[in-house]
Amino acid sequence: MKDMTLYALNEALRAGKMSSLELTEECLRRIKQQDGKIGAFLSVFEEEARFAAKAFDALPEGQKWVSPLAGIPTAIKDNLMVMGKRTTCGSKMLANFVPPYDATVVSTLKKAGAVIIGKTNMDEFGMGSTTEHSAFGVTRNPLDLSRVPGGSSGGSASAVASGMVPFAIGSDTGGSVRLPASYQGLVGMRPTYGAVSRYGLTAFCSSMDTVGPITKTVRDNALVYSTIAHADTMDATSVACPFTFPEKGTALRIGIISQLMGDEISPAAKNAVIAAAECFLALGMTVKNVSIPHLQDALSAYFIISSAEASSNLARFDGVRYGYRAENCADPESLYRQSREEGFGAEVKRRIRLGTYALTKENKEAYYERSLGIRAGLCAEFDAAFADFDILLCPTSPDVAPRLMQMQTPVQMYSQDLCTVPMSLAGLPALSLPCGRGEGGLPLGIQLVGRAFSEGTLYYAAELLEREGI
Amino acid sequence: MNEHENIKSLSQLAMLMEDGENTQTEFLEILRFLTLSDAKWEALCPKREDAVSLRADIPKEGLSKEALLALAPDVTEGYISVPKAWEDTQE
Repeated sequence: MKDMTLYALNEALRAGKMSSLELTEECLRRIKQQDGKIGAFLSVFEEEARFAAKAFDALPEGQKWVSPLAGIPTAIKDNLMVMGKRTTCGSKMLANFVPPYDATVVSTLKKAGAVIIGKTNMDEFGMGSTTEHSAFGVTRNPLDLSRVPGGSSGGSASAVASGMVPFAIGSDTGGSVRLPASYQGLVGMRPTYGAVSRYGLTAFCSSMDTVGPITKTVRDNALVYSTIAHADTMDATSVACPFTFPEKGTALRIGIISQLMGDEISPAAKNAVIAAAECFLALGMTVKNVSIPHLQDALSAYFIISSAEASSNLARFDGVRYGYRAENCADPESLYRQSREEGFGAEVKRRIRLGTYALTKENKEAYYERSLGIRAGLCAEFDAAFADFDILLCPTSPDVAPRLMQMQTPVQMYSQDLCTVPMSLAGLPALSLPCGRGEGGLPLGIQLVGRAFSEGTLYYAAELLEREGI
Repeated sequence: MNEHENIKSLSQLAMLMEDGENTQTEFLEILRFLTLSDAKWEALCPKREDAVSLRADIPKEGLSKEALLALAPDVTEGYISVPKAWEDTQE
């Protein structure tokens, strides 16, 4: 059961070969058996999941199959609200926060009949690439327990890679779905900004936050994406978007991003991109190099802008309205200061500091405004590239998953996001899929990047590669 | 911004940080990593005035009160504070 795709599980459920309760019990059994050493889950809803699965099984046949996800268990990253369930964002600040509502993605999945089985670990407020920065402990990579799972949606990816759930939901601001997918041989989609509602997603960087699925196969990913992508009146930035595939046999124009094939990228990761390009060529598509000059400063721009937005978004955690509150404070000023000092972890405080610094009057022009300029230039260059290409191709990460504690400095960790942040700045869809192997036989990922709302084209091209067995 | 200017900003850093010299050193390392030099910036964006505005329809001096109200007609007038110019908001 652990290696079955969503399509296979749906067929098995429909054919009566298994019930939703049996599938849910199997997931719960695997969580009990494995999660002690992996640490993917922050909370597991045993009774509620059993209740939901039983309720599904009891439905009349005509009311069951509202979606292909019906009756299938899933896990949700812990920065998405699930009504009545602790939503911590991996932070001591929200250790006891219980939201009174569902995120739109969660309510959509519930309406689609999916069984929410638990919440997964993450870097605190999404700030990190390794899931080592959670207040509730690290998550490990099930393919090699001495390695990081990637982040910040490391818990969601580890839950899927270890077979504890058939699919999971993560969020991607600067690569948080794509990096863990790459490190664990999975498929992860960062949708176009606005394609999936952010209502109920705890804000980190509002201009780049997205919600996306993590699955074992491309087709499964398309299935989950098509379920959760829709306009939502609760999120003014969400839009109705067409989800269409190119006609069978369409010859796509593929561009390899030359700035992401430099010395920072390991030979194995570059070979993975070349293997994919050769596969596209063999399928009759055109492949050329494309230059995006602003990419060389995308990492700087991303960390300045995202930290600036984080410093603003996280200002709400003051120990007064909700969240962690320090004790024995003499006055409101020390209450704010002490609550934030004790409630936030080191990486979050580092980013708040960086964002606050970049937004001060003296530094705004040198940091924040320049970063906005880089972002605008990057968007223009991507637009120009998409006049000549349908898909851009590049690695997802510079190399295979690093070892736990290998990233000794913040700068080393930030560099892991080199290949993923440019698409975040530009709001473009990017799909990471497994391609090739590196050190220790660990998986590598490649990214397919498309025009806004061209997710169908990305899934089409990715499935062609998957079928070719790359 | 060059290294010298970064160091000058240490007095600002001191206001932001209370947890010691190591944090300041680490912070400076991050700043060095993220800083775009003036030369690089000029080369990338010769027309900075155009580049910094993601919304070309919003003038640098900010929108008039009437224009803001037109954008958000449902907002009670009293809630909108309209600066004379963008720079004024930074004072």
